[in-house]
Parts: sequence; C-alpha cells; structure tokens
Amino acid sequence: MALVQPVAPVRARGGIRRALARNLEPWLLVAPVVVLFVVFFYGPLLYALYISLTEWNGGLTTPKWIGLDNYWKLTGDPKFQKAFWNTIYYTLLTVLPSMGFGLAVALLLNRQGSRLINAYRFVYYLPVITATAVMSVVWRFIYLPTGGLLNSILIRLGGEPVLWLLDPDLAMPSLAVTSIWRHAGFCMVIFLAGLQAISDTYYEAAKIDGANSWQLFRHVTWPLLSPTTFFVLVTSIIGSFQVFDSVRVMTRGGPVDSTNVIVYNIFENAFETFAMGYGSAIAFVLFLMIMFMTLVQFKVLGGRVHYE
Amino acid sequence: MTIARSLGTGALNLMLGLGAILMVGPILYMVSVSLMTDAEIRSFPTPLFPASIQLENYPVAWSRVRFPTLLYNTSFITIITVAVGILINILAGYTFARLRFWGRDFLFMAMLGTMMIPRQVIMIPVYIILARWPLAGGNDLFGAGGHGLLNSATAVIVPTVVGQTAFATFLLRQAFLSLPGELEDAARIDGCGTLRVIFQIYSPLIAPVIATLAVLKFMGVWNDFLWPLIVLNDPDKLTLTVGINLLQGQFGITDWHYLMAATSLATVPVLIIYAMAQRYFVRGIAITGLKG
Repeated sequence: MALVQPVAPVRARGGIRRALARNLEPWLLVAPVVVLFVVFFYGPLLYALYISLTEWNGGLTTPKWIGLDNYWKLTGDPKFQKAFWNTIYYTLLTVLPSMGFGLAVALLLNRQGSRLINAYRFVYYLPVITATAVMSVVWRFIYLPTGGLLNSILIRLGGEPVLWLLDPDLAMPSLAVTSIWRHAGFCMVIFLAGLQAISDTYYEAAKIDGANSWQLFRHVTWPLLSPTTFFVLVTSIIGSFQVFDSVRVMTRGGPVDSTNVIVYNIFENAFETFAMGYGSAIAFVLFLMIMFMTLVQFKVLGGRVHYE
Repeated sequence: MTIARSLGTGALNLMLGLGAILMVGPILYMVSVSLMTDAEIRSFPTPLFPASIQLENYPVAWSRVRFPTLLYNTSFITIITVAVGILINILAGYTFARLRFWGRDFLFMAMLGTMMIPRQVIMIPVYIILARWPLAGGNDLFGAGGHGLLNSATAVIVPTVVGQTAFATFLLRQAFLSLPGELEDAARIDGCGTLRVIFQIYSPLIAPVIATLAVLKFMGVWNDFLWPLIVLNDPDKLTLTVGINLLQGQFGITDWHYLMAATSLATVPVLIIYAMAQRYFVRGIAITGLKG
C-alpha cells in the first residue's frame, strides 16, 4: 500500500503532461482559426440573439430588454412584410430563368466539342467576376429614362420611353434582369462540370437502343444531372434571399418600397435608423429561411436525387 | 451529312454568339459611354458608340473618384485578407487532416456549422464589437470614447477572413487527406518539424487547390460591397466598390461618361487577373458546385 500510493499521482501527472504536450502543437496550429471563430462568429451570434431581444440604438446606453417584442412587431410591420414578399418575388423572377439560360448554354457548349468551349466560357463567365456594385452603376445608366441605352433603342425603333427602375411595377423585373445576366454564367459553369462528369457510355448505350436527341436529354442527361441541378437550385435560392448590392446601387429599395428586400430592410433598420434590436430580429428571420433551404438540401441530396 | 452537320454547328454558334453578345453587351457599352463627349451623353436617343474617342475622360475620372486612393485601399485589404486567410487555413486544414487531438471533431463540426449561417445575422454585433474595440481609434479600455476599429482596413479584413475560413479550411483538409502519410513520416525521420512538413513538403503538392482558393477569396473580398459599406465612411479609407458609389455625388447628373470611365477603371484589375488565372476561376466555381 505504502509503496503503491506515491506512484499513482506521479503516473497520472506524467500522463496529463504527456497528453498536454501531445495536444499542444495541434491546438496552437488551429488556434488562429478557433480564436477568430469565437470572437467574430459564435460570440457575435449569441450577442445578435441577445440584441434581437432588446431595444437599442447601438450606442453607449444599455440595451433595453423587451423580450420577444421585436419578433411580435414583425408580424404587424407592413414594410417588413413587403420586404419579405419582395424577396420571394425576386427569387421567383431570377432563379429559374438564370438556371434555364445557364443550362441551355452548358448543353450547347457540351455538344460543341472542345475548340470554342473555353472562349465561350470566358465570355459567359465575365459578368460573374465583375463587382455587382460596380456593374449596377452601369445598369442604372442602361435603364435611365432619358439618355439610357434601353430607351434610346426603343425610341430608334419607334417606341415610347419606359420608366424602368422608376416604375413601381417594372423596378423589380428590371432588377431581376440584371441578376439573371450576372448569375447565368455561374449556373453554366456548374452545369458544364456536371455534364462533363456524365460518362459517354450511357449515351452510347441509349443511341444503340435508338434514342433520339430529346430522349437522350430526357432519359439520360436530365436524371444524371439532377444532383447538379438541385445543388444549383438551392444555392441560387439562398443567394437571392441575400440580394443587396444591386438594390442598394440601383433603387435603394424604391420606388415606394417596390424593391425593398430583406437584407436591405435589415440594413435600413440597423445602419440608417439605428434600430439594432429590430434589425437583428429581421436578420434571424433570414437565418431561418436559409437554414430551411440548407436542411432541404441535406435531406434531398442525402438520398433521392441520386442515380449512380 | 457534312452539310447538315456544319449547318447545325453554324446554328449552334449563332445562338451561343448571340448569348455572348448579351453577356458582354453591358460591359462593352460601359467602355463605349466612357469614351463619349458631353454632347453625346446629353443627346437623346444616346448613340451606341462615340463618334470620336475621348480618352481624356479617363484622367478626369481618375482624379475625381480619387482612383489611386481607392485602388490602394482595395489592393491592401485584398492582399492581406487573402494572404492571412490562406496561411491560417492551411495550418488548420493540415491539423484537422493529419493530427489527432482533443476536441478535433467538435471544433471541425463547429467550423462547418458556420457555413449554414448567413453573414447578415452577425453583421450588427460584429459592427458593434469593432466600434467598441478597446484602446483602438480613440477608445478607452472599456471601448468608449472613439470609433474603435471602424474606418480601418482591419475592420474589413478580419470579418472577411472569418467569413471565408470554413469553406477554405474544409477544402484544404480534403486536399491534405488525399496526400500519402508516408511523405510526412519520411520527412520527420529526416528531422523536419511540423511547419516544414506543412509548407515545404505538403503545400507544394496541393498548389492548384491553394491557387483556386486564393482566386475565390480574391473575388470575394475585391468585389464585396455590403460589409465595407457598413464599416467604412472616411473618404480616405474607402474601397473601389464603395468609393465609386459614394462618390457618385462628385459627378453632375449628366456626367455619366466620367462615371463610366471610373467603373471601367475599377473593372480592369479584375479582368487582368481573370484573364491570367481563368482556369482557377472556373475550377473554383466547379469546386463550389461539388461541395453539395
């Protein structure tokens, strides 16, 4: 007994020391990333939740605790609800057209053979790499009622000038066109990668069975491309939920809030009227919308949209 | 047969060509307007192309938007963001892939979890944390009195690095996992330390992945608008995207040719890098597409 007892703590201490020594290097290597995530992500996430339960202008005063009042206020705020439905409207207007455009170009390029693929891909991808905030200035000029490109063309063709971004009914569709222009190249590149991953043997087998081009697309390409299609769909929806740059530059949410979207609404509340609490509450609505899309993606891609 | 095929190829190219014109149209029109005279801008309908090329619009735009300042700020922020981001992501990516340690799986999952959360949720608290940062920008120890880190390059760099870290670290981990462990064992027997293993043995082997990530990070920070718009308002500190939009007030309502010259100038650096590194841009998007 007397001999065993002093040994045990020494061994344990040695074990801990060795374990610490073994863990020290890995911890040091991940430390920058971990510290940054604690201070600039998870910390702020909890802080945001707290702020959303308060009324606060972000200044040196103490936030005033109001419980769920900000969230109740959302249910009766016509401006927020307009922003919510505008975001859905924008998503409907942009996602499927840019995917359709991107898929059509990808299919054409895939048939084209390799010679011109790179040149076309370069051009179609240009709008993706340019800054949205910068190109939106250009689009503002294109849409200008007097002097803009579109109305200049319309008048030359004998038409009447249109108000485009100044017309509450046309502002959102006009904005959506710029978004399709910007996003189609992104869809195209992903679709092209998806198409090139489909093995030729499927097409050869189908051709031997006498399939025509439409049948090849309908029964070979489309089902085998479905994971890609679904991925592009979800990514595009999440992206359009977060639209801001083009709205800020081209319309500032107007005219009469017809292009006021959720992120713009957060921006206005938090950084123009300094309603930090209410802005945070709206941000959590966006959080839920995006979380929902992500979960749908996990669930569906986990099983159904898979053929190989 | 060959006639039918070349007709088909012709029709295909015609469609693709028309689409391509729609894609480059706004960019070409921007350049075209930037070269017009006052009179051409004021005339309506506005011409498609300038009658004579007014290159002198560019020096005017250059000084009015203070292009050198904006370019310097944007380049500085971009270079530091990409370099620091790549460096710490390589360290973490290697560690998650190759080393065993307490808390590894928890930390890794916590990092991946951030990818599901939109940055707009933490925008407000991060802004306040930066504004209240102790002993910076005139702040006292308790974060009162000054503007903290707002209006500094740091205010853009740090949150951007954080926002770009999860995806990059994940991809780097996958890349490190694909390399054989024997390489590391051999290097360690020869007396290599961990840092040399990471930077001299492994990193060169995944150079294409690193280049792709660098390009993705570059695009993300160079083109960002929302975050710099929130944390920067001192005209000396603005980035290109924010500067061109805020300084639109410097131009009269009919000064669109100068504004278009400014937007053209702002687009040139991205175009140069795109033309040089096209394959990494495309690969970057293909990788983003594969993450699902």
